[in-house]
Amino acid sequence: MYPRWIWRAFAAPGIIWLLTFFVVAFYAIVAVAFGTFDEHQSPVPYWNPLDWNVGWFHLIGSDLSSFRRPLERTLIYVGAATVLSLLIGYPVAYYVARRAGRWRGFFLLMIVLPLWISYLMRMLAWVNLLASDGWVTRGLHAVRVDSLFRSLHLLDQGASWLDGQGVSVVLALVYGYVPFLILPIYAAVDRIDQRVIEAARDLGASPRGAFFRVTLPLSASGVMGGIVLIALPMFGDYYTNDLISKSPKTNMIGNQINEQIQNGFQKPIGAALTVILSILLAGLMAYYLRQTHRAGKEASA
Amino acid sequence: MSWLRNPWGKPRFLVAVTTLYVVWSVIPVLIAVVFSFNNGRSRSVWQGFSLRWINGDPNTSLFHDPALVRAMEQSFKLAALAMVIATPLGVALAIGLQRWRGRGGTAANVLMLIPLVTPELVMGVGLFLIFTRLFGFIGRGTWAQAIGQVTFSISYVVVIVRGRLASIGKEYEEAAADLGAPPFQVLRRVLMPLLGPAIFSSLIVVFALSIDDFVITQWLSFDQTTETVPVKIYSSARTAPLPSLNALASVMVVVTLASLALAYVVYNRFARNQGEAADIGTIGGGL
Amino acid sequence: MEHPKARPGISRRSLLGRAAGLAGVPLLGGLAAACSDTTEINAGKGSGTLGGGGSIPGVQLGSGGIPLARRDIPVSLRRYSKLHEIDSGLQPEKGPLKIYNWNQYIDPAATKAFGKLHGVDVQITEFTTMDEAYSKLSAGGLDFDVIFPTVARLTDFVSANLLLPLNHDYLPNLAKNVWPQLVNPYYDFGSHFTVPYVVYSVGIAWRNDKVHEDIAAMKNPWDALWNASAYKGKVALLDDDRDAFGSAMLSRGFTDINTGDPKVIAQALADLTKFSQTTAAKIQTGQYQDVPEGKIWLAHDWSGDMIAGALYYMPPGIKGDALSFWAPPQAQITNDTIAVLAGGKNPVLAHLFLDYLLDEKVAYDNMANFNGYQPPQNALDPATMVSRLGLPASLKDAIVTREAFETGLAANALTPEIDSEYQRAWAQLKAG
Repeated sequence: MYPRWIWRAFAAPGIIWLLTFFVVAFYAIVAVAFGTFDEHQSPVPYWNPLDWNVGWFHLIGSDLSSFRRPLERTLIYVGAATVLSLLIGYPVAYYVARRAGRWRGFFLLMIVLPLWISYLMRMLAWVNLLASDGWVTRGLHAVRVDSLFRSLHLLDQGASWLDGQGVSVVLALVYGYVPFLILPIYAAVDRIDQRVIEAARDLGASPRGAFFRVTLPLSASGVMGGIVLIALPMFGDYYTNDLISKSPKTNMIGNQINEQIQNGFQKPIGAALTVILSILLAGLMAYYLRQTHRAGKEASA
Repeated sequence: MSWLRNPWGKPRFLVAVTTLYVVWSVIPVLIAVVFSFNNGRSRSVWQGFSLRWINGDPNTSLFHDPALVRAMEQSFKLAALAMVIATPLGVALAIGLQRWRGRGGTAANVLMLIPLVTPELVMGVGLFLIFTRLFGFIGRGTWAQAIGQVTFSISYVVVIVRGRLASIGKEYEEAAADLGAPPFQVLRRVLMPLLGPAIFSSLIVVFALSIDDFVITQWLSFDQTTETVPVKIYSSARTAPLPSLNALASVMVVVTLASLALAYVVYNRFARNQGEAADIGTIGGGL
Repeated sequence: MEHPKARPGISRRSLLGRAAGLAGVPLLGGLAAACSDTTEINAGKGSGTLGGGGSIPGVQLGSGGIPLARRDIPVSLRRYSKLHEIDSGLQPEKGPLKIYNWNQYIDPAATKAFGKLHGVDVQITEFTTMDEAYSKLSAGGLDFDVIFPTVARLTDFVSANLLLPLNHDYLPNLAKNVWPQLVNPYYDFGSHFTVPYVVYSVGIAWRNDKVHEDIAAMKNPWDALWNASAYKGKVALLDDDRDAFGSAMLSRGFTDINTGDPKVIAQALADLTKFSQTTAAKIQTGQYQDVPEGKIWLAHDWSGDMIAGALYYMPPGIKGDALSFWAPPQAQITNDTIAVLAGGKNPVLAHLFLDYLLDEKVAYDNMANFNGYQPPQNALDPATMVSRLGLPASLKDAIVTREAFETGLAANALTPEIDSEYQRAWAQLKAG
């Protein structure tokens, strides 16, 4: 009943917008990373791939010492924050989805709520609480958590939580991103048919066996999706670090990019680092897109 | 872990973890809100209740410090721009992608999804570079910020509207066409009203995304007149700000949550498919 | 640092630099000083002999081929800008006057009063490091009217045509009130682009109630900072590559803080890296507030920060004499400048603002009521400043005398290649 071209016409403005401000913008990063800079230290992008100058990548490769540590640190922090988030997130999601009973609505609201409170506001809250006279600092001191962390070498002797401590950055990342992990896991656990688990029990599985052999595998897709969902922005995070630590000792790759491009002169290096980061994350992004695509197909099938 | 051994017993461990989680996730924010009313300069030591940081102090309170007022104005201005640009673009794109068959449609679909998974930092760098190098005539500032926010908001609108399109199907339109309505009449008088709740939710989600956005807005900000509330929090959190900053952040939290609550109520009332309502939270919460 | 091949763009830039350098090279030292400020220091006549891309011994070229000024090599920057002065006698614009300044570097009361005087709005946007400000401005599109450049970055500002040449008809206070050596400074001979704002030294600031060593009495007080692992987490380093590297060099007795010697830079980087790793030092410019409030106990700092700290930022119950400042006898001493940005919409108003800040009373009030940094005003005698401001004796080192200013070690502009070395080393330090 509709003319055939009409759907393309509907899609066109959005597509053009995304091509201009997303695809071209990404290409600009590539062009700057493969470009040079002028005498005023402004970057000069090379748009034509035939002109590309690989010098910046070469520089990063040969000057690895200055980029390796932030990169390693990023992997460690994101890895640790993801594991901790899972340890917190899975039980919470599982409980709300399957065991919360009449409290379910309340808890569901409570896990959705943080998603809609500005990330910066939530970090600001912790900056206040972790100030040297802050309530949490004093509380942790009273129950000797700070000395415990010190004896585990997670917190420097004499230093407080906001004094350039990697452990604070990791905990802040967990706080910031765990709500984004809980929701996909919740959705996945919620979808599991109770009868499947009962069937496993009827066939002789122990409760523990039923959990590890039925519930966990069936929620794996949600877990994986959630991990990707929080890992991607964590890799590009610089503001958490800036608010919680601001010390080079906890510098992550995002801080490097922010420093080089927004506040420094080495914009092509910053662009090259952004390209490298994007390549590293491309696998995660593709995984998530495929999963979403599949889920979409199943839903419409 | 007794809940594993006996999943039908009282899951004490799970209750404890979940309760602690909720306390841990919500209480710090509440405390930050409470400190907006502190009767002292400290944001960490309580010195009694007062409204001085809201509007009592003639120079530094939320409604009297020009920098804080401007931050609120800029946040709302950008949110308005993002809503009116991203929503129509996204709705049209959703309709187009839902019905455009063929290779082009698949490619367009992928293009639409990629911004959802791209770290904001990468988008921020790219937009920063095009607005300083390529589209110098736009430059950084309000327009660049609005464009940046629209760019990552479109995909959310598409996801929301497509969910609704899938659930309403094509029957109503076909019926209207059978009754002799020309295609554009069908679009305008049948499809659009059916999409109403989804469009409304999209507007609110874009509003909330825009208000909370930090990375792209900061990369494209230009001077203190283009600092939004999150950018202001970032730039002053480490320079020992006053409780009026807490007040500023609290206002935005209240505004965002109130608008989402409104969206939830409206969507539940008008969308017949109850399953979708829960999706708003889920979708909007993604990234 | 030793991969010259892997430095794209640099060879191209140095070529540009040399080519531009042929156009005009200034006379040196004494000759320039003999010129009146209206005469261009112009070696155009002699430049023919310098053809073939060579350089004058002892004079390096910075960005845009601008010869690098040193105390004994004054340089007039006028000829390196394509821009023109505004006409005399114009009416000020309607504003708003947009000021781009360091964090908390000017008394809001001063800007408010200026706004009232001319019936305009004054907006201040803050930056935290010079490189951030230069980087943002050179990316284009910003319309700030007034900026506060460092001497070390001035050449870049001029060569990028970011600064408007000044019309001195609007600036009577310059010749009238300012220290003579800064009316005609070596870095901008003839004051074609800048007027001086404040002078300061670089040294160590600490809370003497928290840090118990008698730092000033130590053989090499810098060691107290570099080895401050006992105060881990409570230590800060200035977020300024030149000042940080300069201090690291000085503490090893090396006084040429504008050196391009890669070995010296590498040594300074190694020292600073060790320092930042063992003390978890924050790299920041908020010392003026963090030290008084006790968030930081021991810091690499600018002198004016502690004066501001004692005058303005002490928390209730703690007196200004809890702050101490030390700078070496031959310290890193320089001044910041004020300039009019070419991209601004209020050039006349901006000129008036510069002159306003050079007013004796405004300058003093700005220091005493808020900023803490010392304006180089003839009428303000550094010798009496400590008592006039009521500063504790522990901060007497924070006042810069004229004699110290004359012999101080200033961080000056560098060639783009050497600047890149510093930038890279700095990035490496910040990478942790």
